[in-house]
Amino acid sequence: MRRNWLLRTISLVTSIVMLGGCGGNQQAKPETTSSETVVATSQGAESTAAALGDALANGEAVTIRFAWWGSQNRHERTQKVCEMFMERYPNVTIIMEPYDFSGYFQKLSTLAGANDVWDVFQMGNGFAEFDNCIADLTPYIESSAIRTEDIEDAFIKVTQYNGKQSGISLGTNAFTIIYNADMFAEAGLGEPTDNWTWEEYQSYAEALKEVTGEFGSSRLENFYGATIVGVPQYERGLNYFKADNSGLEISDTKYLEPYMQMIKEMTASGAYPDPGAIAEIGLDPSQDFVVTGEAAMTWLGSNQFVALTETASKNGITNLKLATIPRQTADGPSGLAIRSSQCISMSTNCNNTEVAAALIDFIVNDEEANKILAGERGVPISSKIREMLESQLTDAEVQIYAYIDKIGKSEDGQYVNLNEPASFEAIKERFNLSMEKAISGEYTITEAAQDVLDFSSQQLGQ
Amino acid sequence: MEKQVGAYEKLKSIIHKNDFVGYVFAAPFIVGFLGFTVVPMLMSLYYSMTEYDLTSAPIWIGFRNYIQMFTGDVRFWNSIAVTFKYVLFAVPLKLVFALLVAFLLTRNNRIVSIYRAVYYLPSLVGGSVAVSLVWKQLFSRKGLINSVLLGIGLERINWLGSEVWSIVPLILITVWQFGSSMIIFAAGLKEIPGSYYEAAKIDGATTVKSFIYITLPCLSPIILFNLVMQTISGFMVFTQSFVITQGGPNDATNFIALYIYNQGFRYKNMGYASAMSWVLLMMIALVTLIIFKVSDHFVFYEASDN
Repeated sequence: MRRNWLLRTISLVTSIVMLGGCGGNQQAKPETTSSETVVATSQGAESTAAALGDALANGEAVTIRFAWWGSQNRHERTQKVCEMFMERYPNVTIIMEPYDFSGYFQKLSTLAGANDVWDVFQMGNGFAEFDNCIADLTPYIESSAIRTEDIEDAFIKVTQYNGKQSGISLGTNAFTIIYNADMFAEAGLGEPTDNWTWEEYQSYAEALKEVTGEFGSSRLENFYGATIVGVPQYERGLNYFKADNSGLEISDTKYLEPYMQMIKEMTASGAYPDPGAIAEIGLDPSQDFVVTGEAAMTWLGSNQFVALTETASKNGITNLKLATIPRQTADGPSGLAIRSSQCISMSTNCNNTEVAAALIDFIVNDEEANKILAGERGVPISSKIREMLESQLTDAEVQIYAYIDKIGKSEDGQYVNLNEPASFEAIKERFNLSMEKAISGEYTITEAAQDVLDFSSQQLGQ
Repeated sequence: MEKQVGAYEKLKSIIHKNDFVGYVFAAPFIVGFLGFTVVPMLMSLYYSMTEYDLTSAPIWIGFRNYIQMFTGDVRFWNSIAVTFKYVLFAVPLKLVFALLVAFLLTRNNRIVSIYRAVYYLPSLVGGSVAVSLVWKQLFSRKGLINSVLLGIGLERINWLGSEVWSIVPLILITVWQFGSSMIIFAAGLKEIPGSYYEAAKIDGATTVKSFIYITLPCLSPIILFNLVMQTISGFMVFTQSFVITQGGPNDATNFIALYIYNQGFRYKNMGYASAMSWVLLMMIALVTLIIFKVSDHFVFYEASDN
């Protein structure tokens, strides 16, 4: 009798423990095509010769984690590229982790706190926030593990922060107003010129809302429009944030008030969507009102033009074009600069730095890989890749390249400070909240602008 | 007897005590509780007195987070108010529906078992992101609800854009998932002796009277249980607001859990967020205590001498 219950206890406990172990591994394992032999194109042999490190050459098994954010389109392309890399180096396993935009940054914050960031990962412009987790890529550039002969200095500089090379840009973009040329024609309006103003934008939106039946313009990035892009439009060399993120360069609300006033007026008249309608768009450009035909203008990054045109064409909207962001005065600065839309970085807790560097080099420089990636993240920074892609550009991409060219040639770009301080998100949220209070009438425009300035200064420790 | 045998005897006597089995079965839970609940809670208490941005080391600042919260943060008080408003509407509505439907479904019909399963389904689906997205579509400007309103002849309501109405879809998602409360009520209803109802019928009581004077008092311990459970989970509402309104027009749906999340993970004020979480914990504890104190007056336990 005594042994009976002991045996039963042990067997029960054991079975429970075994069931617990059936939870399983939830990582996104890549589908390796290990049955195929290593395919080394002539291009491949040339590029790998430069990038071969010990770990790759003597075939020891290596695993690295690679994470990025994007749409399904981007996930498929990037996964194909990773599989190409694994074919070339069969001893390397890449654990791929695609995410949506906000899920990605939540995860990055958590991993940063645990000092366990992915080996290779995509980054935006928030270098200040994650400075501790990002490795300096300068040694790999100097040793040619990451080749930069075909990349202009300006594009390398754009992802440097705090004296270190924080990443290699995966594509450049610039802010743009994407507009529906057919609706402009229907409203009898001329198309936006290169130096159109906010006044013109407002009057166009009022006219266009008659054509669409809903809004004239879709959502704008109001915080950027008022500060990062907006403040330089008043005076060349003036910016919202100081270059070293120690505070604000401006202290007068007069730089923010005209923009906020414009948005308030447009929301009241129905030319601009109210906060409820904006909540419906969420973060996905494919739900934008330009795509559904309820608006004729929207603010996006130029690299999002491709996804937008593809989705819009499914709704029968075909004639979308790129325009600059409106400015304060027709002869004033544009406030626009080329930015890195996203870059690829290595984490400080990466154990296989040579393999990680080789992957970064592959994605940035390899021609076969870039035929698949096709500049979906932005205009590639390598001139060799740009030339190669020229032959297979779609109409939308041709427009993007021309637009980037135009912005890049403008002299205003070099005076614009694109650095985002660590408290950027908090400040942006506060701006949007104050904007909503101004729209609902709880604050006057001046009070709302003052609130934003006070909060920004306080966050930056000024 | 030698010393070695003495040790073995000791081990055997421990294993053969009846308590030992209890400890073995409780061990997994205790380990989990310590590791995943107690230790993180203590760490959170520590973080609440620091300034911590997740990427650099925490800096000790004492009670400054708490002082800031109570004196300098209007949004915090707004969040508390909005969460209370939500709980005041969602919890009673949910329990009323649960009780009504449970009452209807415990009549002696065979067909009701199908209905019971059907009404329980929304609870199974859970308060997930997918469900919230569906409800967002329903309440969008051109969604189903507005179409129905237009069909009746009323005007479209801008649900997601109105500070007054934006909390309604969020409340409704919770009320819609009354299934688990309903099952518990149904179990309680079955327990009430039929003889009470028969006696009441003989005395000439109507259905309503017998509901008020028999059903409710007999159910009161279960009402208390459901009230406490739903209130606690009501205070922790998050997903609906995060997915549908992101804090709502002008913070009208900025529930405290969402505000804590934003402060901790997006604005990188993890110390401040931890402090707010502890204040939330105290608040929920206080409300639960009040409910229990009040319950002495309305709960009738069959076994006691009340």
